[in-house]
Amino acid sequence: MAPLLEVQNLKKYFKTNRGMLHAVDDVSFTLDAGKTLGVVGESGCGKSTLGRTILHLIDSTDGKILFDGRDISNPTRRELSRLRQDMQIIFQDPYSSLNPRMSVSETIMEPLKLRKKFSNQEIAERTKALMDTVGLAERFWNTYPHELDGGRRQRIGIARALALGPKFIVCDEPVSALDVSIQAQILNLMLDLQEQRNLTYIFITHDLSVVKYISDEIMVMYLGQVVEKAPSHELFRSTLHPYSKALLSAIPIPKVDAQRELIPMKGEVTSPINPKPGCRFSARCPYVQDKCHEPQVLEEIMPNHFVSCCRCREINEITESVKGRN
Amino acid sequence: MENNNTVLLEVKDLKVEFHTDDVTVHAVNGVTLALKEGETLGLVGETGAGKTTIARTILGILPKPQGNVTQGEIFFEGADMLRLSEKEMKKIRGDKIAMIFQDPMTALNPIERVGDQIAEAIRLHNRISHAEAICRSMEMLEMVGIPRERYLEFPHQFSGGMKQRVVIAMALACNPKLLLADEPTTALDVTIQAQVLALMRDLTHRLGTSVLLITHDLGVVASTCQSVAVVYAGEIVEYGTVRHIFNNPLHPYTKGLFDSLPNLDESKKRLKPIKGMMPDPTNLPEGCTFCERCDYAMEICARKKPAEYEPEEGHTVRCFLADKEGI
Amino acid sequence: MKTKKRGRFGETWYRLKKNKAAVIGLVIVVIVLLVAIFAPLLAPYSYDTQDLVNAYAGPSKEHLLGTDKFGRDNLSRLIWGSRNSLIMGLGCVALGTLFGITIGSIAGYFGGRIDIIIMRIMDIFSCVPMLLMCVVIAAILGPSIQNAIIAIAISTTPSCARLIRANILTVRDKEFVEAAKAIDAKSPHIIIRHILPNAIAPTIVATTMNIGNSIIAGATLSFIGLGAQAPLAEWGAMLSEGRNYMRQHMELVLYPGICIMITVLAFNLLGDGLRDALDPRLKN
Repeated sequence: MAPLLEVQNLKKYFKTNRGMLHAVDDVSFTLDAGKTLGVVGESGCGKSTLGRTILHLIDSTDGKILFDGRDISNPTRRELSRLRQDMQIIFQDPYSSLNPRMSVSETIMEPLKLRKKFSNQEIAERTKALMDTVGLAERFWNTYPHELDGGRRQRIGIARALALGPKFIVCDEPVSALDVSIQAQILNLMLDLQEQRNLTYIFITHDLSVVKYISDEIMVMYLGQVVEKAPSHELFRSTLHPYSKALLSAIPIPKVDAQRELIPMKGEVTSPINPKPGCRFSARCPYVQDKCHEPQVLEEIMPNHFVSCCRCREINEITESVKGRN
Repeated sequence: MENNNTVLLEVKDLKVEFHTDDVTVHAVNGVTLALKEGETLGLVGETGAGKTTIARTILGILPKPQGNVTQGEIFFEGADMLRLSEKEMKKIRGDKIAMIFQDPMTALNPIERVGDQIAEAIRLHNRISHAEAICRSMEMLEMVGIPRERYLEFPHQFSGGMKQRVVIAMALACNPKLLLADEPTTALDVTIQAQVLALMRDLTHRLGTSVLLITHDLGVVASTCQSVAVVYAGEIVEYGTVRHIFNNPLHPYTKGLFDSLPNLDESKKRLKPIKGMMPDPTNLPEGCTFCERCDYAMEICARKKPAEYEPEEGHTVRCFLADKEGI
Repeated sequence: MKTKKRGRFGETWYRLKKNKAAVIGLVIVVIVLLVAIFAPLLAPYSYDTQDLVNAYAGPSKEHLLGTDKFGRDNLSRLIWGSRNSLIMGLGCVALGTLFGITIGSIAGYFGGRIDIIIMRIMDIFSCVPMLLMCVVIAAILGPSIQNAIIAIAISTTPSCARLIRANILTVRDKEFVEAAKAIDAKSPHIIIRHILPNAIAPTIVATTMNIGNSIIAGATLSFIGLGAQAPLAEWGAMLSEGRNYMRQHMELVLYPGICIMITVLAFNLLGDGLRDALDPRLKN
């Protein structure tokens, strides 16, 4: 089966006063229908830009995007209009992602109205069904967003994204602004929807524990590049890249005496403007050597487990190489 | 740091209300807690549970005239803070009690050099010369891991994590007895959060500072605190040592919080969220505040407020499930 | 902390009511508006009924505020004059705000080169003094109320456009605008439905304050003969007519002057009150 989404060497550079900002630099991956790809990284790693570039909310600088077998790198107006039915986005901040001047029903029915092919009655029925799907009671029909809490607001955002029946949704930190008890409600809702509608997600987050819960495959990004990519359970079982290890070790675990060694990381994120050719993590990496300053490749160290680190095998004491695949 | 059992801060049956034009918000409803010297107490709860209000009340910086303490006492080193004059409070604030906010920019002046800001904080409460203050300020910067060469830089030249370090340096500059930290790492990335938490742990341990850490993150609590108070709708529903709360949670809300967390170590098929939402603080239910969301709610829960019950020493809970005799 | 919700409009109204000065302003504005609307019913005479025998008459039963040099009833002319003065004030602001919103939202939403070109043209416009602009327009189109309105509107456009553009820039990057793009909404729809309603609140205040200024500007133009033409009654024009007889009949200047002052003051009080009511953070 062909993958639903294929991204090849995607690049997005922004022009700034100090030079080119490499927000997304040479990212490639494939994603099968009904699966979830988790994209993890700290602020400024380009994960949000990646999601928006795939949706053509931002134009890419270079690279190819294939959706459902079609090349959508440079869509025409009409193609783009079609694509917007199939691809949607859910935002992080349920406070700024809803127009404060539009009621719940107006927000959810807007995409249907814009399509101009439904009668008013049909629109109203579909809106009701959508509200029901995401668990919003009908009494909120004429309510405005500022009267609702974060969880309900996020449900409105989800209903709006579902309105046109998309196949693929980019979820940009959809739960990081919510309290834990509400966060769990929304995560469960998203999983239910995925099962019912065979949705494909790209789940962007900085929270590794959330991503583990929801993703089939995880991609760790650092300063615009993919440093590690592996199936979810595999990544947590054997984390190979020094950055992923540090990231994992930094998560506070809600358990007493959960003694874990904090992997030291020097300094803070360096600038993504005009980066040097070598490994971008080298400035903070505890294992840095001279060869790290040469360009790195994303290599399949174990089956389906890709790492971009020239010292990966040494550090993790892996001797065998992947055979039978190319 | 020797084990010290002197109580530094004691809050007794504190009630705080906010009055707006036509409603009364019951933000804090009878909170009692005690903080020993050198201890770190975590205040855990969701948005709007009243955690920040408790900290602000201790420091005497409730927004006036809306915020009012209607009941209770706060003892700090034996003196009732609620009876002190504004002038006496000013002496305590910054000197004996310091506060760190979530957004470091609320504490930093954007147009003043960071070193000078720390020096100024020191000079405010200590009679030392300008040169000495600069010297102390540089030491503080180094203590939080910022090279002293950056003394002359401005806040905008620092990253988020660095700014929070500066704020910590500023808060600890006068060697306060008590540090109120309101979500100090929530705005930071996890790797930076780990660094800042490690720094706070290390410094407060070395200086013997007591910390009241406000957070919504149970992971942060487990790695930083000795005791925990779980706050819900302005009440402490469960209170105990980290071991009590994490290994033997008794209140359904505390259990619910743990169940709704995605866990790194085990794979769960589905999370178990707490249904519903926190009650409206302007219109609190008569009985247990958690009653409506509770899976184990009994008939009594809606009618009667559970009293504090101590099933084991140092571990209190407000729930009839634990306190069968209280029914 | 949640408080009881009144809705945006209700909340604004609630706060406005507590501001005494603003309420006084609002009451005067409403009265002046009513007077202007019902001028034919209220005025005892028409604005151009002459009674040369009774010229410069003092207050009497027939003429409560006396008459002018042609024996026209001063009170009736003030009442009719409120119409033209308000039309000038409101017309300029309406037209100027319309221009300003259109130009400002295009510049702010699309940004880049379009923004630079539009805003530089606005800069050039705001360099030309208003009076000069009016003289030029009057020279081309002839002096009249409409042309004065156009001239004043053009000179208020740049400041309004700048204000709108700045507000739009802050709203443009909000996520709900991105969400609208993601559901394939076209630019005009996004501007009208999503951006403008959220960017327009500060302009309401500026617009209210502008009405006062525009009334003065309109009166100024009429005063120098570029606005309302005789025999139309307009406060600025009446001021101008009365100025020659100021020594003997001060009331001819005083009446329209007081009317202008009170009306402008009322609009400014209301504007101030609205600003405080719309943005409670500015107070306390």
